[in-house]
Amino acid sequence: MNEEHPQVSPSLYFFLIFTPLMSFTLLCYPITFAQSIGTDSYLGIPAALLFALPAILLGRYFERRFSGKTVIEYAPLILGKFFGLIYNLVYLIFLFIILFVLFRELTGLVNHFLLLHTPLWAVTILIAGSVAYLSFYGLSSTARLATFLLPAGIFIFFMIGLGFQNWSIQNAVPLLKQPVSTYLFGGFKSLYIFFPLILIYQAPAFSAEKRKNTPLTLAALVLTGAIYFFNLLGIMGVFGPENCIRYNWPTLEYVRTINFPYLLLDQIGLTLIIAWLVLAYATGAILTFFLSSGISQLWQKLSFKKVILLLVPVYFFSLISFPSYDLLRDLFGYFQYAGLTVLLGLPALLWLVSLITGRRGGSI
Amino acid sequence: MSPPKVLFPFILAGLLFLGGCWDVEEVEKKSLITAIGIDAVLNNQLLLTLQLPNPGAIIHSGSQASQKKLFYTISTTASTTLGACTDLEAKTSDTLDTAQTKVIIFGRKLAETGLAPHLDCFGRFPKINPQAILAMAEPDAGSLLKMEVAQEMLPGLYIMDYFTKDSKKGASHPITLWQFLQKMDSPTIDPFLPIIRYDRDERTFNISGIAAFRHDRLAFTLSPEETKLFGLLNSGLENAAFIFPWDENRKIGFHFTRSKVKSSWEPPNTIRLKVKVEGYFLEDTGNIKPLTDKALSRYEKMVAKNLAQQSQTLLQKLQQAKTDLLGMGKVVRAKTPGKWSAAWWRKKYPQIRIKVQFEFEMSRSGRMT
Repeated sequence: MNEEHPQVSPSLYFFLIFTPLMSFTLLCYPITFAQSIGTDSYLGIPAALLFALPAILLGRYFERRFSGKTVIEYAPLILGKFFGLIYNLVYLIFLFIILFVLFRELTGLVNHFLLLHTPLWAVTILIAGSVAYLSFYGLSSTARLATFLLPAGIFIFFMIGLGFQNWSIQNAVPLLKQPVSTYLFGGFKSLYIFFPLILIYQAPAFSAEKRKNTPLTLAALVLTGAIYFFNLLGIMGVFGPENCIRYNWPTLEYVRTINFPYLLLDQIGLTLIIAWLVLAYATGAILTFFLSSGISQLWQKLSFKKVILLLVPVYFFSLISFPSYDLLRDLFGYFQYAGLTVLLGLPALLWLVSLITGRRGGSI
Repeated sequence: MSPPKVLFPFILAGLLFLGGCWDVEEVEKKSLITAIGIDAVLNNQLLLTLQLPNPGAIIHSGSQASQKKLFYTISTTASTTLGACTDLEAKTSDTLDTAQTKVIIFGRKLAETGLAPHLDCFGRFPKINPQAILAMAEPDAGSLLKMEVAQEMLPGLYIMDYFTKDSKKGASHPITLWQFLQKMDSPTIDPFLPIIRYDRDERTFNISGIAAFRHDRLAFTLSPEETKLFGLLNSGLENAAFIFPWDENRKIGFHFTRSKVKSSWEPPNTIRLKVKVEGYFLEDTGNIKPLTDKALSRYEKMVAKNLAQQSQTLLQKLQQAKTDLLGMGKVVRAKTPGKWSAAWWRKKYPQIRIKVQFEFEMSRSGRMT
């Protein structure tokens, strides 16, 4: 692994996985669940969790066989130099795509609700610059930042709970009246909510206590799943599936239905946006760190700090050359397939090759 | 590489934009829209009226010298809501701001032609308040927004105040923008709007009765008495007083404070509503004394029977008008998942039998025995 970075404690490791998982698609994910399942679409979350579990098992296998190594290091050991390079390029490109999707969500939200007249390029400079700044000081400070932002996460959870004010069970039933395949398909189609889990092929190498990695990853995944389930249950009970798909950011609209006169601010949606934005910035910083670290491992002449600086214009030009937010939503299907391939397909292939060729790294 | 030096230009560049220069708008250069009125006029055109506060007059509203109006209105006609909004921007030097919109009122004629095309724009405005109250004006919204109220306050805020008071909910039946959109989008329930009129003699708004919609079109209007009954059948909107005739010369009155409704689907064709209401005994024009347990129990039974009969009649009217205000579709969808579809329910709803059963519990009998 890259010696430049200190190892992070188990609690920091937990937040490295949990923060990106929780914030990545929190505001928009109910749409795909509502479209593919309907009234009881919250049951698609356990199904999506089920599909995400093999990734944890694969991550655990590589982590134990190639202890202290990231995918950038062990992929060439298993596949050989050339195919290892191809594998890693695909991995890093996908990591970039996740970041791109996150940033486009971020700029879309800022442009829709906060800075309506500010041009996209100005918002993009702000976002790309701040994320680069946050990740510039290495993994430890980035992970600590994610830890400090825990109150923002708690606040979001609190808001989700308050949204139950307008909840009606009749909007969220019938329950379990569809074929099991509908829930499985819905979960499979919405697996993108867990795409930041691909960090398990990189992050464990930076952890100080390797034994705790798998339980902590599992805990982060289950906790995220629980929050997503609770949120979707609330949204279905308030909006129902037909109304939910009207909105670009159903979670935000759900929170905007909260109405406690004299107790809370009129514009409660704004506070949710700010809470989510700080989490999204932390997520952007974490993912940027791993992307730059991966690139610097691939081309060792480049330090990760140089890579971060090079990434800023790449973020900037890619984001401003993709101005339509709706186009991004249209392309989500392709993103879904790409994600499945990188999260599950390619690692499964790597595992198979490792088993067949006997290139299994060190002992367990 | 020393990080601060390298990032210095980026941070500086970022600082330039931190103020969101393009979005800076001083409050005094904004006109906050408190109420919006939309009416249908000739040739498929809309008349959009905005009610805007007059800050100078509001500040001096306490002093006797102030003769200025607390608000002013601007209006224009256009073929769409957005077109009208754009035209209205030209009528004021300030920027029109929808974030503080408290009330959106539609004229009756527009409600008859359908509200969905005109609500689309409000659904897309990022800053519009989803908690804005919606209402239907009779006869039209534009002229209503120009009226002053006897109480010295902004009419838009007056209406909002009225609708947000718990004690008035039984008569006012408030519905917010997001709630209307939710009901309109859902195939299992139809939306409604409270009806608002202006009393020229007393300079007050009269909010009574509701307009029942079929999807987005006005299908039927409920009288004030029917509206109170609808409130009892719709938990959460029950706070209302009812007067029942006991005999020719005697009437008894109750104030209902709580209602709990349990709906169940009895295949193939029946929905049963069990309504439990609680309330106070507040008036007896016959003034029979003393009030015995037996008499109270007779009152409870009479009230339950009377409410059940009235409800049955109201529900039949709603079925004939094909408007599912109570969301019976949800009850049936929960029990017939394979069969249920929006089209199936639209056909089925007018034909189903709805049986209503009331139970009344008197929690107070008043100060006198």
